[in-house]
Amino acid sequence: MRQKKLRNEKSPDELASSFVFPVKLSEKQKKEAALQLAMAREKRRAAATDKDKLISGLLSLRFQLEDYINGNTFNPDLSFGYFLGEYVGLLEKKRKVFAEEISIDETLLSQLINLKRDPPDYVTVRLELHSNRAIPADYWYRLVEKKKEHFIKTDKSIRKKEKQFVQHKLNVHI
Amino acid sequence: MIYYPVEERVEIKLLEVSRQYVGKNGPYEGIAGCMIAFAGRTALAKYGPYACVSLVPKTALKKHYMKKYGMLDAGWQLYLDMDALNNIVAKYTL
Repeated sequence: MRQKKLRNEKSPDELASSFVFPVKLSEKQKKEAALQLAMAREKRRAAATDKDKLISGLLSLRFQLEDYINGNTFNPDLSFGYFLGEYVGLLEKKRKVFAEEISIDETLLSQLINLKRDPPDYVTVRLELHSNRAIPADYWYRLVEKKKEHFIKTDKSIRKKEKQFVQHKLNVHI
Repeated sequence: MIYYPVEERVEIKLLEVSRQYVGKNGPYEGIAGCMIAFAGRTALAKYGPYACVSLVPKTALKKHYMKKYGMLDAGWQLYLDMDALNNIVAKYTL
């Protein structure tokens, strides 16, 4: 009823600017629609240029990173090394070549990807510059921060170790 | 939105802009574009570079979605993927 009223009051252009109305398809139509879409996507995928694929990959990586660093949960699998490995994978370049492009040693690159050390600040900036700002330096930095934040929040051994250095602790609870 | 992980696709089943923003004289433009781009961003983050956003249009609105949002024709459905999806996502979300 409301849809009908809207369609009488507004032009198709105005409606397309404000609505996607639900459309019911029969089972047969649904099957046909799924097949048509799958074929169209397959053709597009085959015809996509390397540049299109790279842009799609970068956007996908950027959004995954954004969602993770803006979220409240820590996931040890989504580390700096994981995202860096994904970035290098998108470029379809050998690690040695990529390490040269950002002027770091290949060993350092491997250590970063395999989580053997944390990245120096200059690496996060070089990654931003290399990606032409597709992935900003602070995103990389916040990944490292997220790990540190989790460690500082949850590590019991550091608390045990540091306890000896604290005296006259407050005798109140909040 | 309906998620189809196996197909790496998000379907927009219903999109509705608040009444006061509908029409040429509304205070803001591009609200529906933002919402379609949000679906695209979600699909890219969830499903990777070959993600897709689709909708089943009313016949009368089909060409308008194609013109306005660069949607592609797949018969019963319209869709966005690869460069077409990148363009709308970059325009509205970056």
